[in-house]
Parts: sequence; structure tokens; C-alpha cells
Amino acid sequence: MRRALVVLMAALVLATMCVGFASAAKPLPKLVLLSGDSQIARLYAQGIQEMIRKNLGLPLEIEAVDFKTRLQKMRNNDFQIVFAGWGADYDDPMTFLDMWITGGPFNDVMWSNSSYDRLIDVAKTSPDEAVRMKAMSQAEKILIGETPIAPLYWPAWNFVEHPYVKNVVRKTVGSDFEWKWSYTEGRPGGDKDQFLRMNFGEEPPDLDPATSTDQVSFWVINATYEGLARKNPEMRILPGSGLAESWTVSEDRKVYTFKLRNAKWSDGAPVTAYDFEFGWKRAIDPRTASQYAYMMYVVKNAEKVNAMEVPDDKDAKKAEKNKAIDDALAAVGVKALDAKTLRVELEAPTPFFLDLITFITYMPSPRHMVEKLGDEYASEVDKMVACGPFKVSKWQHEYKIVLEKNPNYWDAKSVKLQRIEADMIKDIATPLNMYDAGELDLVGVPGTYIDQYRNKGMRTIAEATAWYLEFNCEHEIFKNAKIRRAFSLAIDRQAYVDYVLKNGSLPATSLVPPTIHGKDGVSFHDVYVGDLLPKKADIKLAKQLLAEGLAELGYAMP
Amino acid sequence: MLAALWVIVTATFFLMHSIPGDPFLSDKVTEAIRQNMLRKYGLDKPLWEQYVIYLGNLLRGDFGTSLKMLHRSVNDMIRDGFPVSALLGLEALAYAVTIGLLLGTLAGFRHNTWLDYLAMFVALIGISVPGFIMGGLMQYIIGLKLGWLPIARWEGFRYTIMPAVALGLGTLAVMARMMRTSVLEVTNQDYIKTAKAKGLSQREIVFRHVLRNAILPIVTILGPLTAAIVTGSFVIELIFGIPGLGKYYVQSIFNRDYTLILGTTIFYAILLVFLNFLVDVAYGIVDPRIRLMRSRE
Amino acid sequence: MRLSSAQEITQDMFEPLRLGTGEGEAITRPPISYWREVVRRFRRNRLAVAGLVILVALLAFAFIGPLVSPWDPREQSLFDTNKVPSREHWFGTDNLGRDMFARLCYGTKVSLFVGVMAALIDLVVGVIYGGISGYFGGAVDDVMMRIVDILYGIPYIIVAILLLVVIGPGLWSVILAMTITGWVGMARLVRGQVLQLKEQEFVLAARALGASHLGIILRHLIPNAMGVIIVQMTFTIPGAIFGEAFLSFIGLGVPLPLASLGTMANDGYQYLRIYPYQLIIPAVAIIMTMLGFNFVGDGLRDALDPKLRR
Repeated sequence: MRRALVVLMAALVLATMCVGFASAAKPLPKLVLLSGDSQIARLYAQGIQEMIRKNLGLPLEIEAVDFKTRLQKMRNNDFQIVFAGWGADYDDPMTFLDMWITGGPFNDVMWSNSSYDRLIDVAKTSPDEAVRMKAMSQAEKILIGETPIAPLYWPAWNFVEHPYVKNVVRKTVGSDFEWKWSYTEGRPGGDKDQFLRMNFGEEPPDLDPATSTDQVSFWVINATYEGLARKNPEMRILPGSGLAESWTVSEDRKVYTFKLRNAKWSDGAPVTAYDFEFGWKRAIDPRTASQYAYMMYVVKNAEKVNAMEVPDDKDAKKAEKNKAIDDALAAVGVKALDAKTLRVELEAPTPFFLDLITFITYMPSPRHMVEKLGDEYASEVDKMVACGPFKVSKWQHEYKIVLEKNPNYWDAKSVKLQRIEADMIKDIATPLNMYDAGELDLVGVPGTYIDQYRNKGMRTIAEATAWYLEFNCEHEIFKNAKIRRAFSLAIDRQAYVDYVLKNGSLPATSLVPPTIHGKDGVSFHDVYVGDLLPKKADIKLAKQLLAEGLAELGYAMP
Repeated sequence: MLAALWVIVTATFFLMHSIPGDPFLSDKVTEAIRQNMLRKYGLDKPLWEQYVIYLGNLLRGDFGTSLKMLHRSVNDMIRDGFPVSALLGLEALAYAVTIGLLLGTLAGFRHNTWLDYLAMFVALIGISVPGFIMGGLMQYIIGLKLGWLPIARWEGFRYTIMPAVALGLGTLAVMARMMRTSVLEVTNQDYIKTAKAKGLSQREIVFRHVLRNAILPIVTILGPLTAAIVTGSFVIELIFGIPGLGKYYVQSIFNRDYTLILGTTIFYAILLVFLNFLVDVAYGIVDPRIRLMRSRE
Repeated sequence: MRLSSAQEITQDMFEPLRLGTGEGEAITRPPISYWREVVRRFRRNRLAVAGLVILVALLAFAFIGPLVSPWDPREQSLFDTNKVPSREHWFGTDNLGRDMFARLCYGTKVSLFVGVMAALIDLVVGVIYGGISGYFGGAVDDVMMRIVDILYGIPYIIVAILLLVVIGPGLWSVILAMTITGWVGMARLVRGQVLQLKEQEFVLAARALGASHLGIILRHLIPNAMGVIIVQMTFTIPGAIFGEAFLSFIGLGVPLPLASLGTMANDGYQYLRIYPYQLIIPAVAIIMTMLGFNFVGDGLRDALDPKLRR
């Protein structure tokens, strides 16, 4: 009797399963694109929505949320497709590629590919530039082929400046504005007073180079500090361009020895190799809790120390743990051999290390000030010093900041500008009105105003940034690479930049933007990668891939 | 009053902590570093513990350090920003009250004349056009095209006119309409007829009887109107680049700047409660009936 | 005729008026119910009628417009963006090439919905809360009004933004954000009315006849306060539409694919200097809505106020 029941049950279960298999495929669940909630973000998301609807016949919903909510959802893997972007931290393809390795800290798509991981590892450890380039280009091909992300466009920055404004350089990587060589010529009212009026858009939240992370603070820090080198207007890094007069590199390319020049802080104290060691270690020290500490991880032992546990005040073993951190910091690969010599040891040969030394986190910290002021350093004008072309001379919080030429700067003779005055107006229309009224000298043109300034001398500069769709590779639909690729191919990138963005952005036919350099200063994209994706949509292939992918997953084509 | 503040603090505290993300979440922060930053600022502790710590600091008048502007204390930010916002708000209120009452009174006494229609037209524009459109239009036309007033910045009286007018316009409109209705109502009352019959001069009637009584209902809405000006200041300060407090309470939420969210909320709550109290007092002064009642008690 | 003091007043100058029984009690003026009187006075107010016409026109536009227009408000045409008004696109197209006429119909509908729903929620919550508080008075009133005072002290915008970020974007989130503190005004108003009315004789009569508390509130107090409540509603609706426009400015208006007059005005504001029609069209719609409700509200208030009866 009991056995019969079991048999009956088993039969029932089997029957249900058979019916399940035999019945029509599952209906497609609701597809949602997560996007930002700004005006522009909504516009761009709707452009994608339209292309997917038109070219794949799929309805795509848009969920527009504020910046932090979107990031949190990405971190929680709580999304299907998300509109995301990444700006280069340094001028090497690696800044776009190592984020997609298995378990990488920014790999929100949960994609994993062992060949990819191996290639990135080769590129990270090989001292041979040619080998690196080959490995990275192969890796990028795998990435685009498997499509955990679908590159969309490489953005451009548009701006207008009055004709008398000369030599305001905008760098594609790192701190954007470079004013060291700027001047005016032919300003109505004369050029005797050399100054520049800009709008920074917001208060610089943190002018301490060891902890600073945001764009506006970077502008100010780049102008008021100087690292071991400073990029020239052509984005090249030459010895003697910064506070290091020269440097040597060891045979295995892991040890750099920098020879510092005579330089002074704006308060007259000398800038020494100790200030560099102190500044770098301060960024690495987990007690500083610097967000950009990961930029220092190429330095030997830096990552290990940065990951150490920080004791809180009530910790019984506080002194012990603090000492452990101090000891570990002593073993970090940066050391001032004397006041003029800095020795840096790296984890691996890192060809882009010379680019990193121009990054804000690699700036020196004035030890004599920081040890006195602690966390208050750089909070007010009288609580900071400068070693770059300019110094902060006036800072009215949330309103205005004035940078003045730093007479103690070692290359002060090259600096023509006496003053940079910057407003902090967040509204988009106001600065443009002020520019038109002659109250600002240079102003960025946001997307919605492009049409108006297109014929008024607007200039466009390509940025080292890529925007793309991220697919959640653990989602029931988007775990299928064919479907992901179908979405990517359904997007007409050329039409997207021409008719939706309309701001001089380029269609992204691969991930790494053409502005990023490879070996010998050539464009990595142009020379080593090429167009991995078509500029126009490949609707036929996209539809075919979608049908195949859905069939594999057992979903009905809508 | 204190209980009210406690409720506001508590509700805001737990509400804001339930928003996804935290002050240190950014697209360029690794999870490990983020946890370390949270620990440094005590945000890894259990929520109730953070709450107790916050309340303790609050009792000492310490709003804490901003979690976005890591070098600035919320007290400093309020101290710097509030006088600017207050000045802007008071100027806006001054325009709104004087012009609004004047328009309303004229409209009321010249009922159904072109003056009435003009006044009500101005009032309706004020009510119907959102602040961000009005501010933007004024800036573009008066500031840029006509060049009469500065486009933005905050350097002196000339710089305050346009933002204050843009900010006060809505309130001005409400004032004018209420005053008009109020005047109309009062002029129909029997005591006005009595006053006329007594042979009082027109001037005396207007000032001693009509206006005095007509203004009563206006005083009661001063509280909400001031709140409206506080709210509107966000948009206006943003458009005209004014370093006031208004922008903080929107930005702080998007930045998850917990201490600043709480600081501004508490500060504004105290301010509004205080203003409502002032209104009560003012009402007592203006309305003799209430004054009498109080003195009897 | 002026009588000289010299003239004598004599008996024969007067004549008795004969009155039938009950004739003295007759009402010579035709009987008019309260509401018919209201309608009559409302119709005499030209502005109020104009307001009503505007509102009816807006409603017609929102609901009949889509039937007239061949365009879908959501359909983009990336090749026809920012086209000025023409025969094909009556109100032009926006930055994604969507027909502005169809979108405006749609946006008007959404905005009206937000406004009306917010007003209804305010109404229900406010009337119940204010009614109870005013009717029972004493300690109940004290406690309930304390709570209202607390809510009054919170800047509405902070609550609205916090709430929208916490519960996420959505049509109902926006409505909730508008009402979370908005009902307070209605509650205060109703309480004031009830406080006044409950002292009147008809309430006493009802109580003497054994009516329950609920019955008194619902049958006697609320209907008598209805005029004030309706007037308040005609101001709440445009207030909510306005509030939604403000939230749109911060990026927290109704979410996609919805559009409201607020989000449209904000989109258009960005193009003010180059495609002014994109701002003007939704702005005019907002202004019309505001005017309509305000005119009607003013008219109703005057019509409902017996003191203004002439």
C-alpha cells in the first residue's frame, strides 16, 4: 500500500515534469535598465530603450535612481542591465581592463573568465611592453566577445573660451585642467593683470592630496602641488618636469630612484624626499582611510598594509595593533635615502608607474604642517601650503576660491597667470549666462546647450572615459552570452552619438578609449585593438543571437 | 517643543540610514577601503549605538563633522550659510509683505477696477510660475539680455535684488490675494458701516478699522509662508550661486552626508517652530481679543 | 412730497390693509436651497466661470487630445528631434523626437492625477484627523494637535526628498511625498470648523436625539464644513502639481516612462535658450492649471460664504 503510494507520487512528479517540458517556453520576465536620474542620464537611457525596442523588439523598462542608490545596487548585484562608466585613473589600458578579472573589486557584473584573468596577470607582471600590449589586446577581445559589458560611447568634453584665453590645457587623464602655462592675450581691458575666471561648480570637498578623490579638488591640488613629474601639454612625462630632476630604473624595472631638485613649500620650508615618503605612506596607512589608497597598491607591500585592521578606541590590543601597522609601514617600498633621494620599490614592473607619479595621491605631504594639524590640514587657507605653480589665497566656502601664483615655486618664471578666480555655481545655465556676459573666461558646455554653442567657437576634447552597459552575468536572462551580445549588437552606436548624445562623443567600438596610449605613445585602441564592434547595429545577427540564446534558456521569443 | 525635536531627530536618523548607500560609497572605492572608512567615522557600529552617540553630541550642541566635506564641521557650515540664507529670506519676505499687502489693499479698495485686475494678474503669475523657471527667466532676461542686475554671485545689495524678488514672488502673490479678500470681507462688516455712520474720515476708517482687521488672517499664514521661502531658497540659491544653507539639505541627502542631513533638519525644525511662536506672539499683538483673553488669564 | 409742518395728518389719509390668515408667514421670494444659491452666485462670478471653462478644457485636452493626435507620447524618433511646431507636429517634438502634443496630453493627465490623488488623500486623512480632534476636544485635541505641530515643524521638502530616496521613485511615491505632511493643513482647517460648529444648536439637538459621535461628525459636522473643505481642495490640487514640478527640478519627479507637466517643464527649461517652445508649452499648461483651480477656488469660496450673500 505504502509502496504503491510512493510509486504513484513518483509518477505524478514525473508527469508534471514532462508536462512542464512539453508545454510552451516560459514567458520572458520584465527587463529593466538601471540608470542615473539626472536629466541627461534619463535621456541617454531612453535612447538605449528605443534601440532595443526597435531593433530587438523587446520592451525595456528604465529604473532611474540617484547616484548612490545605483552604485549600491551594482555592488549588491541587484540589477539586470546598468548604465555605467569608468574614467581612466592613469594612462594605460590596464586601468580599464583589470577591473573585470574574477572577483575584482569593481567587477559588479560577476563575470569570470580564466583566460582573461591569465592574460591580465601576464600584462601586469611582464616587463616587456610588447608582450603586455599583446596580452591586453587579446584580453579586450575576449571581454567584448563575451559581452559582460557592451561599450556604448567614449564621451567628449565641450567647452567655450574667450579668444583671449591661451593655453588652458585639459588633460584626458587625472586632473583635467592644467593652468601652469596659461595666460591671456588681448583681453578687453588689457593683459597687464593676468588672471582667469572659471566656475568649479562646487566646493572642493578635500584639498588634502592623501585623501582627496573628487574632480574639483584634483584641479586645485594639481595647481597647488607638484609630484615627481608633471605632464607637459602633449601629455608626455619627461624627467625634470616636476620636483624630481632625474631618475634611474633598475634592471628588473622594479626599483626607481628619484633625484629631487631644490624646491620650497610656499611657507619657505624645503620640499624633501621625506615629504614624499611621508605623504605616500600616509595615503597607504589604513588609519588615514584614504579612498584612493588602491592607487598606491603597485608599491611594494602597500596593499598588504592598507588591508590591516585598524583598532578602535575601545580595543584592548590597540597599542599592539597600532605598532603592527607602524612596523608594516616601515616595510613599504618607498624610502627617502636622504633629503634629495627617494627610492621606490614596486610589486611588479609597472610600465605606467611614471604616469602614476603625476596622480594626486602621489603628491608630497608637508610633514611639518600635517603633523601639527592632523585632520585639520588643508581645511582653511592658513592651514595648508603649496609646492606647485599656484597657492590657495582665498577660500570662501561654498562660494569662491582664489588661486594665486606661488612665488616659491621652482619654475615660477614659467607661470604667467597671477590669479585664478573660481566660482562654485552648481546650476548649469547660470555659468553660461555669465560667460555670455563676459564674467567667466572659460566654461564647459553641457549636453543640453550644445546646439546653441556649436557655432560659437565651441571646442570638443575627447576624454579618457568609457560608458557602457553592464549585464548582470548571474541574472536568469543575462547569464547567456548570446543574449548579452544580441543587446550589444542591437545598439546603433553611430546613430546613438549622432542623434541622442549630439556632443561630439565617439561610438565605442571597444572598451579602452583611443585617448589611452599603448607602447611608444601610440593609441592602444587604434594600433592594437581596432573596432571590435560595428558602429552600426547588426540587427540580423542580433536577432538571431537573441533567438538562439532565448531558446537555450527555454524562454519564448516575445 | 523638546519632545517634538526628539521625534524629528529620531525619525530622520532612522529614515536616512535606511537609504541605500553610505557617505563613502563611490564608483572608485573598493569594498575593503569603504569598510575601513566606515569604521574610521564610527559608521560600522550598530545603528542604535550610533544613535545614542549622536544624541549625546547633540545635547552638547555638536552636530558633528560633515561626511562629505571631511574637514568641515556641520556647526561651521550652518554658521557660515545661515546668515546668507536669512538675509535672502528676510529680503524676500520684506518685498513680499510690503508689495503684497499694498497690492492686495489697493485691489480690495478698488474692487473690479483695472487696478484690481492688474494686481491679481501679478499675483496669479507669482502663484503659477515655478521658482526655477521664474529664477532662470529673470536671470536670462534682466541679468543677461538687459544687463540691469548681476547674473549671479553674492557681493552686495545689487546682487540680492533679483534672487530675493524671485524667491518672494510666490509669497507676494499669496499675500496680495489674501489681503484683497480680507479687505473685501472687512469692508462689508457692520462696524465699518457704523464707523462711516459715525462720520469718521475715510483715512481713519481705512487705517484704524479696515487694515487693522484685514491683516489678522494674514498674520496666521506668515508661518507657512516663511516655510515656503525656506524651501524655495534651495532653487534660488542654486541658480544665483548664493553661498547659503538652502543647497545643503538637498545635496546632503544625495551625498548620504548623515551628519549634515540631521544638522540641517534639526536647525530648520527649530527655526520653523521658533517662527511659528513669533507668529503667535505677533497675532496676540495685532488682535486685541486675544490680548484681552491673555490678560484675563 | 414734502409735508409742511402746518399740514394736518388726518385719519382719512390711511387705509387698513386686509390680511388673510397665514398670509403673513408666506415666503414671497422663491425658495432657493443652499447649494442652488451657491451655484447661482458662482455663475455670476465671471472669473470663476472662466476658471471652470479652463479646467474643463484641460480635462478635455488630456482625455480627448490623445484620440485626435496620431502620435504616441512615448514613441521616439531619433531623426526628428527638437522640431519646432509644424502641421505634422502641432507642438513640435522634444529632444528624443517625441511629439510634444501627445506628450502634453499625457503629462497633463499624469499631473492632474497626482494633484487630485494628493488632494483626496489629504482630504480623507485631514478630515478624519481634524474631525476627531475638533469634536472631542480637551486632552484628545491637545495630543493630536501637538503631533500636528511637530509635523508642521519639519521642513516639508526634507521629508519629501528623504522619503523619495528611501522608497524609490514611483508615481505613488511622489503622491505620498506630497501628502505626508500636506494633510496637516486640511486637518487644522477641519478642526477649526468643527470646533466652531459643534457648539451650535443643531449639534446639541442631534445629541439630544441620541445620535452617536460618529453620526454627528459624519452627518452634521463634516457636511457643514464641506464648503471650506472643497475650497481647500481646489488649492491643494494645484499645490501638489506645483510640488511635483519642484521635485522634478531635483530629479525626483514622476519616474520614466511617465511624464508630467513638471518633468516636461524641467526638460524644456534646459533648452530655454535655443528651443524656447519646449519650455513655453508645458509652462503654459502649468499656468492654465494653476489659474483654473485658483479661479474656481476663489469663486467657490465667495459663493459658499453666506456673509457675502447679497
